[in-house]
Amino acid sequence: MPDSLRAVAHARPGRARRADAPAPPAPSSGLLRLQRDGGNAAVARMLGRPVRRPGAAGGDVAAATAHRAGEVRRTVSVEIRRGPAPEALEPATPRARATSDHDAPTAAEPETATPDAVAAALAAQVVAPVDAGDGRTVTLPDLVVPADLGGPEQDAVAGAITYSPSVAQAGVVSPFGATRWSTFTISGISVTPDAGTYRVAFTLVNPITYNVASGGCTDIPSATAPAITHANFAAVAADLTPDLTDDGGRPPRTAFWAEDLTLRHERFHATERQGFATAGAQAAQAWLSAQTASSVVDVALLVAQVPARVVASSQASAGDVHTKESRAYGDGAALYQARADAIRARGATGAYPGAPAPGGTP
Amino acid sequence: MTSGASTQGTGDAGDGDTEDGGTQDVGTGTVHLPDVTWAGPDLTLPEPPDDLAYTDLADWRARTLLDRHGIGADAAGLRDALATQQGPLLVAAAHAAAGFDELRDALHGLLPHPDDAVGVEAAYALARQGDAAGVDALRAALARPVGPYLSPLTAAGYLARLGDATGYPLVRDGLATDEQAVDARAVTMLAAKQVLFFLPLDGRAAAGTTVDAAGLVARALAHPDPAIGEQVRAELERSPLPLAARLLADARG
Repeated sequence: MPDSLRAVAHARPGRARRADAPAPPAPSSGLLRLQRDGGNAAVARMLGRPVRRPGAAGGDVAAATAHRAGEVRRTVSVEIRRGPAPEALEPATPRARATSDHDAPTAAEPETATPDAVAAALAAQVVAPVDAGDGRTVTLPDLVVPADLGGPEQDAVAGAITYSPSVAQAGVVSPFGATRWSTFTISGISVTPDAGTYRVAFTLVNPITYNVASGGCTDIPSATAPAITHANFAAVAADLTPDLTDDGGRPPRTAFWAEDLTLRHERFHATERQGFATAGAQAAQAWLSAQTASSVVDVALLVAQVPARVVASSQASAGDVHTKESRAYGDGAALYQARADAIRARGATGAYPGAPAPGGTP
Repeated sequence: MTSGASTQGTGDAGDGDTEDGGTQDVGTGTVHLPDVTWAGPDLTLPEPPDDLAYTDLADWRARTLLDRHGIGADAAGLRDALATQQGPLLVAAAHAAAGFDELRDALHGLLPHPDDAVGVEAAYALARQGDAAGVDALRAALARPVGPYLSPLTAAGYLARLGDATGYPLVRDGLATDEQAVDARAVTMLAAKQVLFFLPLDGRAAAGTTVDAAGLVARALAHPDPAIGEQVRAELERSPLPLAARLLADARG
């Protein structure tokens, strides 16, 4: 509590508004206007509460949310020396600091946004204290800052998210492959305070990458792969045969794999994740547009939540581990089966190296 | 997981710097903020054990994800994670914290978290600890609009696991979400993920209606997106409930 408020709250007698106290400002002026023009930082400094910054720790954000909901209460205990009541309100000391706040470079000088208004509103509620003797406690009534002076004005947020995905084969992965989809860059963020609305637009860049790795297995790109011999064709075919009891058709791949089909599998995941994130970005936009904010800083904090919301949406859409992989393996099962069948058929004809000559002794 | 602002602002028309590192167009009042890169954690998990019941899957997933990212599943490790993580790892930490009464204060602090998914996980963890505030928070979460928010469906499932069928209508309606609705796939799939939890509540009154477990399963299996039916089928396969076995047999019919 600024010193001026502290002193006045203690000393001002009477419930009636002082004749010389300034009238409460209109809802769109005063603190609210300062808040809108100067940002939370300006008001926070003026009222002596911490300033929240983008990327602040979760605890700060949580506290801020609670504050917006009007749920934060602070217990103030101070010692004030007894003395004569002040003749008049002290000048608004933080005013110059508030208007020089950098949240807005050219914030207009607030016309009525002074601590005087808040102080006067509080003072008007104070019952004249009895002249308590030394050591006696006088209980004062609760002091309530009128709504039109107190909390920051909450404006609507209108969000416009452009989802910009890319899919590329890149990165080092463990066998047999992986898709990375949960990195986002929020670029081109613009926030325009409009009449009663913060209009925020940005691009959500989502580079999705996938890659595959052999794990030491031999690649079998087709039934005519040179690695296939008469001695191993049955094992090759078995390694590439989809196991329909395992995630919708996961092939065993103990010593042989098919890089092209594994790439297809990972591309399936990448494409599916892109679709999930597209919907997730739309949902995040709907969520963003259902929020309120009291400053550009608030808007930035909301925007920062968007990637996690898109990730959560994608995770929800994907289903559980089993179903997610079942779809991807199911997508390639027929191709795996066809390759395994072709290898078996070709092997049965003795077409692979090392096969006994026709009519010869096995 | 990391997130942070890049060093380069994006506003080429700005003519003033802000404390946020952005620039501002004085003429339009538009503030251009610097780019933010959010590198989410790797969420790839191994296959769950074959004998893992579906009702234990969320616990397994949270533990496995935390372990994969080097976050200890003891009270100290989780307390640190609850204070420092965000997004999926914070959600997992809040879920895993259910086993530690000494983390109750930290979980209470997460109830009003701006990420509603975090708040719901904290609420469920508290509810599992017998803290009524957790149940209250889960019930409150049901009021959020489904679509822009997904946590109401999660809350509905968690309440069902606690024996409270209040969220049944959300799950039932989620399974019939219009394809044109906001995030329809996520809504429908998330509703499908809750179906098994309502089997023990079959026939119970819930928010002006009656839980119809067979109806939920039938609705999921009949969904035009086959992935929805497959999800519910997988749940039934991982359940020891006789009703699950019967519904699964009916589905295979």
